[in-house]
Amino acid sequence: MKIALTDPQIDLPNPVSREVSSPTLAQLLISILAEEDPKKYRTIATKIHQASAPDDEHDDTYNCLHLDWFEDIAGTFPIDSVTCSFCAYAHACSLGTDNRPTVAIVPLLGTFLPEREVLVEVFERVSNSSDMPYDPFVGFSHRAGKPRNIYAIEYSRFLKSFPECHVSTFKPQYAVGYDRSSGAPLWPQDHSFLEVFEQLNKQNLEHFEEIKIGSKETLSRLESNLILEVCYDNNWILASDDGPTEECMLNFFSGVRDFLSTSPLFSPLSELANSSAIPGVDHPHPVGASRWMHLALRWMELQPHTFHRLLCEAYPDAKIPKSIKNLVMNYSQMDPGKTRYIPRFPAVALIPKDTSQTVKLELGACRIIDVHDYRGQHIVLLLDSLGLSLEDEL
Amino acid sequence: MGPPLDPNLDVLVEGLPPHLVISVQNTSKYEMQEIAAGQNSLFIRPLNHLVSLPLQTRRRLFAPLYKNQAWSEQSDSPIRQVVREATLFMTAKYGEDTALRWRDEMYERMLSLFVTGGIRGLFFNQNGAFRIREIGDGNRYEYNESLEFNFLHGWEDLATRTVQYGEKPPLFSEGSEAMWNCRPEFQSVFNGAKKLYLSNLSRSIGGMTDLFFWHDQALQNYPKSFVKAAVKDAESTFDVRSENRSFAVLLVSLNDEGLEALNALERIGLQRFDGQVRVMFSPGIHELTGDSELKLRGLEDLDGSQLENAFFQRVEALNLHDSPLFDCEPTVLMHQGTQDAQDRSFVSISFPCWNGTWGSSHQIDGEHIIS
Repeated sequence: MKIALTDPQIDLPNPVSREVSSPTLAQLLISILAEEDPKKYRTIATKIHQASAPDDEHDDTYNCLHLDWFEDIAGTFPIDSVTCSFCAYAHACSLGTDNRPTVAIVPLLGTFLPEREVLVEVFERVSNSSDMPYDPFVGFSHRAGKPRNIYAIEYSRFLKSFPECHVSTFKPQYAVGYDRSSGAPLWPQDHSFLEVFEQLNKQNLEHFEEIKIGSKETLSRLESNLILEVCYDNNWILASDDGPTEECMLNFFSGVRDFLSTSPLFSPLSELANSSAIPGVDHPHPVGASRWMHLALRWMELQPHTFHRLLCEAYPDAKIPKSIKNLVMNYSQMDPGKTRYIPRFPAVALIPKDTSQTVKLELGACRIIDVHDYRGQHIVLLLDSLGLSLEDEL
Repeated sequence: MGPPLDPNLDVLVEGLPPHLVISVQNTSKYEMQEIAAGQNSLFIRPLNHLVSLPLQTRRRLFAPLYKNQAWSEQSDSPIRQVVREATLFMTAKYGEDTALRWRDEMYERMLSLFVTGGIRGLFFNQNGAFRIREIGDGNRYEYNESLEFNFLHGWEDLATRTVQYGEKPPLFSEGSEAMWNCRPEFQSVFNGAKKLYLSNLSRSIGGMTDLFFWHDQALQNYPKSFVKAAVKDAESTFDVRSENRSFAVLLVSLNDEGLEALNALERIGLQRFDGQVRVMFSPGIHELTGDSELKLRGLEDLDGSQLENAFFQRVEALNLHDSPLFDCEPTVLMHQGTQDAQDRSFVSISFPCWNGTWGSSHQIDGEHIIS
């Protein structure tokens, strides 16, 4: 299904039905099929044009747009849709051609598309200015106003495909991306960190072998509080755990922070580390501490597998808590053909009228920028995939 | 759709500052309105419009980029032109794949900078696309400065010029080519920068406020002073320094019958709340004058009072108890001792809303794919 992104500026001829009286038309049509010489082709095309023209002017006649394509014809004569249907140059004619940019609505995972009128309304209703395209994603997608695919997917299927595994005090409205491997929204700070980390990761992972267990004595009170809060939120420490478990985690993250702040590998992050951060805007942690510590904790949350060795050191006698062991062991690498870090897709939600179902406006992998109600059964999201092909990704 | 706004909103308007140009948009869906530059406009809208707020705000902010230009595939805005020219340099240096990825990110970033700070946001901003930097080599009468562009791996000098102390020449002006000594390889980027700077591309600089309003019965049934106080408190509290403000005020009646409920879109819209909720109680006369032990003298008596219980019941009846509004303790205020107090009690719930801008983030907003 295609939806135009501008007002119609086309002039479609009214279709008419009439008998063509010329006895030579059939023969001319057969001749032109075999004609290869352009001059002779033009001659025959002109004859077809004349033979298929109506004898008299009527309500639905008009003048040919491209008379110069034919041989000189004495005077102008009206034509109608029947003439155009026989025209030998119809393939190149612009009359009635709709050249408006369109979006194609592509259903995903068996989603049943709402009626065309509902979808057209989502696009047309948004504009009251001829300067701007009929595109709800203006300001959210640099492809807004341009031909592209817009994906339709049932809300419940979207949640299954892009699950939300990380719980945060904050709605992810300021998050800028989504990690499909960990199911976590990515915040502005994560974006900066992952740019550096993935570059290093591609080069040589062994650099991280230099991380040593630190000392909790070097932590500020803010840092200690932050570590414990994040550890309890993530179940890395359980309420039933004893004091030494807390100490292990404090020493562990002290070491990661020291490594981050002193290793030349992460020097590109120095400027970021010296800037202030707002919880819920720059990172998802509930309280603020040093930026290096936030980076260390997010590293563990997003890339736990890099700490396998260090965790064994931090917890002697292999007493690593089960939750952390699971986190490290269950870490799944993405299928190489798929994109791990994706932007949060802007989406418009269609919700059934008079429904008791509800929709979360801020999802890890998607931000819903508008909601419409419609006569349907399922909540459907219309997604701008920001350049990703979701047919390949799902 | 939910109940339309009361046709007579005079009392609401009276609670708002007189310098605002106030309009009421009592339509079924959010419709964007033109606002005049330099004017502070406030639009009063029904609560169900709140679901469309990010879409409409960003659309309004990006509208200047579409003004007077074809926006089709072939359109070449001054911003796009600079990025296109810079991409040619990037392609030669880093290859096509890297250059194209950089192009998309840079274009998005420049758009964001323009939307938040206009042309100045692109040129005179610590995190901008261009920067002017004073170069050390000068003398007591003049100094050199360079115009730099933010490429993938840092700033590159596009051009340099000599400036005399005490003079503040404009960055560009028509016919000022001789002032800058441009590096030949960056001539086209420099030309693009000049065209961009002189393009007079203006963004909307008028302030705009969206006030989403909901009431559960006819407005005339609420004490006038309470309505005014609730709106005045919200208007003077939430994001007062922002050019794009949006907040909601809900007027809720306690211990009354035949009241309106929130419809599905209105309830979903409440998820746009972003910040701290303010709750203003307007106790009925009976709450203030009853038995001396139950009498409400101020906020200190609210805890465990009948008024508080009635509020909790109403919140539950409106299904607000499971909305994120009350995840954190609200700020509680009391409106009492007014001549127009009624037997019945009322409460207002007000909160700032997220409108799709990233004003409070230290980062540049945008969407990125990390390969």
